[in-house]
Amino acid sequence: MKNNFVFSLFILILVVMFSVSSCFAAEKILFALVGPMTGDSAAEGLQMLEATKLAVKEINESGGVNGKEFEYIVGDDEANANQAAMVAQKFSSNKDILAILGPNNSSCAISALPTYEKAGIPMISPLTSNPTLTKLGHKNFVRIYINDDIQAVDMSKFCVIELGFKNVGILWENTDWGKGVRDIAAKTIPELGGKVLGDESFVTAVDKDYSSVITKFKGAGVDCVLLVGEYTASALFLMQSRNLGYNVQVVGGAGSSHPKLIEIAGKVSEGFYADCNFNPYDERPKAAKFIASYQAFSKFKDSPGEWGAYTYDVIYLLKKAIEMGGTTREKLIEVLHNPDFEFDGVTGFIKFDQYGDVLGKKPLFLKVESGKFVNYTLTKM
Amino acid sequence: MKSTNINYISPEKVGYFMFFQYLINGLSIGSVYALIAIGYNLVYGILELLNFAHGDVYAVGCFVTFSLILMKQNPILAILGGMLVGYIMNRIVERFAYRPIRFSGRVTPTISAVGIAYIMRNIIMKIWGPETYPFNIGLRGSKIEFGNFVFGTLQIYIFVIAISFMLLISFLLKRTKLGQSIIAISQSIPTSALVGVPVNRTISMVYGIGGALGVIGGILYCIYYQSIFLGIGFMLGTMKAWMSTILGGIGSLKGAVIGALVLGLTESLVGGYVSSLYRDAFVWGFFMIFILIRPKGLFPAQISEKV
Repeated sequence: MKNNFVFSLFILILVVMFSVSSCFAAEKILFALVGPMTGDSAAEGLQMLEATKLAVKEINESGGVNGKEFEYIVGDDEANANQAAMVAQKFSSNKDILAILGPNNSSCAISALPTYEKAGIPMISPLTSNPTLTKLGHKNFVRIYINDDIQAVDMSKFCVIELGFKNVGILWENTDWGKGVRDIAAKTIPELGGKVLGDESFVTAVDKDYSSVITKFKGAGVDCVLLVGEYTASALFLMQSRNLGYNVQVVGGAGSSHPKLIEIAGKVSEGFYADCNFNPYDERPKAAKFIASYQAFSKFKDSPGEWGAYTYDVIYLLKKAIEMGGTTREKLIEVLHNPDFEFDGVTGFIKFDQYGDVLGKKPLFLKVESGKFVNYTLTKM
Repeated sequence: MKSTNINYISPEKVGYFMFFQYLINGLSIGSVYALIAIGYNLVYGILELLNFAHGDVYAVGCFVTFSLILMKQNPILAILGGMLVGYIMNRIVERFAYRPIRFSGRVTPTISAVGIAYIMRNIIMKIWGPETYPFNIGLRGSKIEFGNFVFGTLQIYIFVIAISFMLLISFLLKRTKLGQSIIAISQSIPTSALVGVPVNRTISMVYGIGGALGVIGGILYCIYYQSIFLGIGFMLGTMKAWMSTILGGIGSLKGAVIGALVLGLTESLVGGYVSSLYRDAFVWGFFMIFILIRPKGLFPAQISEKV
């Protein structure tokens, strides 16, 4: 008798708790941030998280979105496509998530999109650049980051025209991003008058020894390596190539523009160039204000790069889209795909084309000088 | 614009250059594998006890060394500190995760080891973090250049250290009481106990020594690549050491070292001549074919049959 009573009381308390908590949930808008929080790209994911914390804090403190506060949960895809698919499964079963913000890596987006589309959740990507993402026909996807159709061509031009190296070797990470850039570069470099003398790939997070690649490139006469990889891979390659006496010029992809590269590689990073999509010294008022707030707020005390800037923009963009009527998943997708939808963010003016790609932006280049990444002014491009 | 600081190699010589450089690279990384394989072999080969967590446990020791260096300690003390931690941790793991199930067959200890491996990996992730960190111990070694070949004095040191330890451990096994106890235990535990060998203590010490050796191997890897990350445990210690041991012959220290060098060379040559991307697939393929042809390995140890 007593046990029955205790049990029923317990169930009653649980029911009350659930109904009360769902009452609270109705007062908040929930989104999910997905990115590499651990692993070789963790510094990027953690920067995304810091920017998220900053943006959510600012928005909630100034009245929220339509009076409601933003709330978020974090998914760690470890920059690994399998992991991203698992995170997508988990988040798809959560009916309260309005939108997915992220991920950082194109492979993760490609593997997760079908699951999200089936659940009808929109994905607003701050950082994926593979061109096929917008050509796959996923109606729930938009991105504010520059497509590789532009970035890869610019990277090729940088090696051949700007720096003047005609014998290029491409070292690419074995992901959709790496292969996508490599395919475009392998086509573009000969068109610009250069030669692709080396074409090697590596598996991220697993392959840490580049000595075979270095030997191969050196033997082939490569004088400039286009490294389509993130900061850990580029740092390791720089260190190992100098140890093997191969002082080749290295130009890295957008993932290599994180200052962690200089921390890992040390002195040998001098003279390294990286493609980049946000100027960490941007002096335009909106950008400068963001940079200052981020530096004051972030526990990492460093300048925000593209990971912080684009994530920050994506959250404010979500806010604007919700305020323009995107209060449910379907309505949000409609608002985002409306050709008149535009947003002015710290990364610049954002307007989408019919595929969900952002219009009118161009990448810039950074150089490591005296132990820091500085802006590089293009002279011949 | 041609890079002014690259030695361009004449076309006729390129083939030779590349082959010899692959050889040098392969022997270098093979030496690192060898050191770790010795530690692994000590436990697995001689005691025939699986240590699936070998890598991840000594990785904790390597990270301790990393922290000590960041705290500006003397590099030698930092390495010794890491080795001590590796030794102690392996002994603790043996005492609580393996000894209770020593006679429970093969599966249970394996599961236990996998569990320990995950715990260690998570400890590292929690305390130090999941990324790759710069590892600077102040010992860089200089470069030696013969024309177009480059190798570092560091690579020679690692090779010499690996061979030295192999000889040291062989000596330990043949000529000391501890070594004889270990060999006795590998032949039969009940009999050794009957003749007065302190079985539990000896096994514990072997695990400890294996751990300490693993830490040295891991640290040399970090010095060589100037970076440290949590994969130096599983990837290097458990997988490469195990492959080297199987290649070289279980129970044979000489085999472990040679197996490791063969593994390093195979990786380097396959990576260079076949494919850097599918390198691991090819290496594993060769490994599987080798096992089918010669399952006992290159130098199978002559261990007397248990009566």
